[in-house]
Amino acid sequence: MFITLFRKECVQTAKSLTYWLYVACLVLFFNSQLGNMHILTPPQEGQENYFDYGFETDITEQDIMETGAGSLVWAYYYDNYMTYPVGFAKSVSLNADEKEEIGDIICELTGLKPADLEADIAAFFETHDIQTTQYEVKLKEGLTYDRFLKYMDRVAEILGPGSGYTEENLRANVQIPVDYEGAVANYRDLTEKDGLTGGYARLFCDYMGVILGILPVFVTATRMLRDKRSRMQELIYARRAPSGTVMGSRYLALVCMHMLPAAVLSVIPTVNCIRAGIEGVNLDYLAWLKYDLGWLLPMVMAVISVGIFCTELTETALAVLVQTAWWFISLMTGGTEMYGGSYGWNLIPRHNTELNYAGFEEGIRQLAANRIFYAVLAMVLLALTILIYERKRKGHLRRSGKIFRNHKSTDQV
Amino acid sequence: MKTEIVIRNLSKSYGKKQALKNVDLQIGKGMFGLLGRNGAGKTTLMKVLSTLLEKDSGKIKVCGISVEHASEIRKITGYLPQEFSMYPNMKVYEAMDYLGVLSGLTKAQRKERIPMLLERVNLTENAGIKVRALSGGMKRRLGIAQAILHDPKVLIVDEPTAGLDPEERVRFRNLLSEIAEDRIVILSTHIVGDVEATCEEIAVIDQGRILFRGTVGELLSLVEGRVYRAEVSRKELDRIRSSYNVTSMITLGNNVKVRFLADTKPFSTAQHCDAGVEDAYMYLMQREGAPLCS
Ligand SMILES: Nc1ncnc2c1ncn2[C@@H]1O[C@H](COP(=O)(O)OP(=O)(O)O)[C@@H](O)[C@H]1O
Ligand SMILES: [Mg+2]
Repeated sequence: MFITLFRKECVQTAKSLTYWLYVACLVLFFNSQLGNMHILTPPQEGQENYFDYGFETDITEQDIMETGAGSLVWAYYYDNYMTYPVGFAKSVSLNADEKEEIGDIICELTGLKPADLEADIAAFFETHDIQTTQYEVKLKEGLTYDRFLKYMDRVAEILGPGSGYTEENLRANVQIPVDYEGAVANYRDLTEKDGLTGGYARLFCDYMGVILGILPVFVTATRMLRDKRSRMQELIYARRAPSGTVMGSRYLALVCMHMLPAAVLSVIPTVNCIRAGIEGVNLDYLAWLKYDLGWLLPMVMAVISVGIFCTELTETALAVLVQTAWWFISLMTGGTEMYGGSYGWNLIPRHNTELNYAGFEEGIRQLAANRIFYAVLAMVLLALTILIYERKRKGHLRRSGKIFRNHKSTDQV
Repeated sequence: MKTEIVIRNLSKSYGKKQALKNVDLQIGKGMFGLLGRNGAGKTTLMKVLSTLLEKDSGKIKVCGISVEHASEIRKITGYLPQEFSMYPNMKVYEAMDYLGVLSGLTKAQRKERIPMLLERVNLTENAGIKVRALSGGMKRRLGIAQAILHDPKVLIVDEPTAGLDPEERVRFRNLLSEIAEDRIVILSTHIVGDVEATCEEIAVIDQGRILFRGTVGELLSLVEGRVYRAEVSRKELDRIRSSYNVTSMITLGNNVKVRFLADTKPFSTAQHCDAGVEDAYMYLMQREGAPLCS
């Protein structure tokens, strides 16, 4: 019964409009983010720059201070302060007193008076490429990291929530491109440890996670509301199929149908790697599968389980709200860890580069724990959903509104 | 195992509202009619029988199985809710197939039974159209077909004739009678004509209580020989209503045609006439002191 129901659920899903909207979104998103993916070739000595080969991962306090102070000077000079309170950019305008205070802080940090700034910025970009380099500023002799952070706290206070001057954000803002040696090391990691395709599979997961962390909830909620909307519930309730079979097959079908197009797309980066034909690389032909199952599947399972649970419990579109909130929070907290390595308990782990295998290796235990947690959470929510379904089947937890509607419609006869 | 439903002392409340009060019923093979006005408790009783509601107290055995064993009961009962539909974008055959799987039928069984049942409810030609394109009557017939898909011993249909036109209603009743040949069919209705024509055994339910249990003939005998009809003015009507049980009235201009119950001939223009089930039903309802709904 389970297998047949599963097949029928898959067919039903394949016939629903929301599902094809989901597939379309997936394809469009893939195209826009990874559509013209270029496969990294080995770095050559004497190249103009090595921006494509990743960033330094050992960031010193000195780096943080120079970049942080630089970004403050830049904002002050152009009088353009941006914050990201709920993820969206917001321009903050300061009053004269606040501006003066920022000016004083800059002076404390760098010894530069407001009038000197223009010259300093100009001098910096005499020797650096303005397109690719962040402005950094020389600090006053003897400025300690603690003192620096105190000043930054004050700046963050003036600018309000979501500013880039918290320690976490200051650190995330430092992006120092590697030099030739670093590039060679990073590339060697990519080809030897990641089999080239691994890095791209991870990058694929990073991007696709952003929409797989939300979209499945729409299809799921639609499917779950369909029984009620078509007034089919009682016809199903009264049949012998156990609640576990009804819900379990439905859940499994939703998970498979959502993973299917993602899995198909995930093969494309691997194909690109093969076509790039880089010499001396031992390609990992199944990396995409490992990452689909290990990285994306638990996420899709979790999102769909939230979908079935909330919808079965409330018979409303609450699940969409809940998942949107969760997705949003995940994206926001993930925003400071884009380069990968620290995945925490985020539903949508970020690793926005094909490189940084070292970071991945460091974070893999955490990532595995994270993914197992979500898979287990999904199973728990599924079990709870089955329990709720079983209760409703016996007339509990139901809304009474329907009965009264019945009376109206029969009264007219 | 005997094909029989035994209900003892069944009660069920929704919060403070008591929908069934100490119901005792025994139902055997054939068509059984459950007659009662809206809100009487018919749907509640039928849902309890088909495990869609849990009773508060009492005992129910369906063909020897206690109603607590929901999955066993579901194997042997078919249920057609008062209000139902199916996934509108499914074809008739597809919908039946889906529900057949949920009833645990094998592929071979479904292939055999679905065309047979569609034939029986006269929907063979509509097997390929979408459920949303069915008329009300067709949908009801499809409802019956899905309810007997797994060949249940007990078929429970809740107000199946509501919303059908008179001709469809008759055909539908006949269909149910055919199905009842070898099983229990319980039919609820608030229309006297539905049970009069087809049900051997009936029960009248009101405010959660069984007021009457027996054959249609026995119901008739409650008022046999006491039914009179007369055409009176509106003024006289008030007098009649205060002294007799009025079972029906039809307004004709300034006059009203009434049927009422009296032990002896009440006045000269009143004519004695044959008792109808409607008269008996109305008598039962008024004996309980509840006001008429019409
Ligand atoms: N879910 C419910 N919650 C509260 N009261 C209900 C509910 N369902 C039915 N009732 C009440 O119980 C009584 C019996 O209802 P029902 O069994 O639907 O009657 P019938 O089917 O004979 O019209 C009615 O008074 C109705 O208002
Ligand atoms: Mg009802």
